[in-house]
Amino acid sequence: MSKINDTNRFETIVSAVLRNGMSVATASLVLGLLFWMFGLFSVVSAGLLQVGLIIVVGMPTLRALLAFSRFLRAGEWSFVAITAGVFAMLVTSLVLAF
Amino acid sequence: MAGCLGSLLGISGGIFLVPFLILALELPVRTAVAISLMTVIATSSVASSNEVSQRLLNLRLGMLLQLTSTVGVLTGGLTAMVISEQTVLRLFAIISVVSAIIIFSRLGRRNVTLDPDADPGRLGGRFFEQESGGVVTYRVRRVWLGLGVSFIAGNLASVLGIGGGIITVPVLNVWCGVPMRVAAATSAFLIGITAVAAIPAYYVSGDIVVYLSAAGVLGVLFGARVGFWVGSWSRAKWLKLLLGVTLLAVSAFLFARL
Repeated sequence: MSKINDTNRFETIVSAVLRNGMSVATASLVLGLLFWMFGLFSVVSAGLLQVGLIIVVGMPTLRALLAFSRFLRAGEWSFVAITAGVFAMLVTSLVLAF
Repeated sequence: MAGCLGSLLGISGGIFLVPFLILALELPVRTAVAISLMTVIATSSVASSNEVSQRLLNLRLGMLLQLTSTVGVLTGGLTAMVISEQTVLRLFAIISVVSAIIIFSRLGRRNVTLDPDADPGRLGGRFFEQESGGVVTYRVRRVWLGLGVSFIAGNLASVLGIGGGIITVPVLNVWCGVPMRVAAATSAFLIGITAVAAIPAYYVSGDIVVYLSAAGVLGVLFGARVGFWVGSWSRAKWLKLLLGVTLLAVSAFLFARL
């Protein structure tokens, strides 16, 4: 039973993180676009848009990190290894790009 | 529109967005692909952000498939060198038609059982389903097929800017024994990280136009909310029908263009 409750808590945390993250990203993008359209504060506008997009890209990564911690705590080592492999791929894609 | 279908079916909508950006807005292909990847990531996060889909999501299966799909992304550049974009699109159109036909033929069949003693196996799972009025169980079959498909999906993601859900969801549902809603939720999770892996290459080459990407992302965020609302009261059969029709529309569009 405790395992089920734990699972539900994990899901609540993940969805709260995703929801709040995306709300911040949305606000940042809307403001950035509005400033851009009216030609106001071009530096601020560019910054807001960048921040918004970075949050968007960061969300799934954060989500995978949360999954990693869950597998780790549950002692599911094969899935810990699989998740680590996925991160290795993400790092490789960064390294290959630069 | 793309976001709406995306959150309903676990596909990214890039399949509509990329042709639109290239044909209607006359953007360069790489710019269109980069924008689409950003919207794929946004769709993924929004589609996974409600607790219902969190519970449906098969995290183990998703992570396993993620492994091959990120490898697919990394080798996407090679694929682009070996076969032409037209060949990829043609294959894609054929796959869509075949999946659509199979989905239509299986509309009445379900992957789940209400038997509480059924063994879900290592990758399978259970979830509460309103439609059946109880906790249902499913087993994942033919994992190798799922792995292969998510590799191809990753490949397509990096070359065409689509999430790849349009092939992953039908295959998981039809051949791997994964229930429709679980397949959609798992695919929504998959496409996000897949697209994240594809982004750096486009970022470095300067193909991410910030304000266009921002506009695209906001568009799908809005669409995804509509998708939720529709998804909450639709039946699994209805979702399959929608997926089948979407697949047919996409392939018709592709064949018309080839």
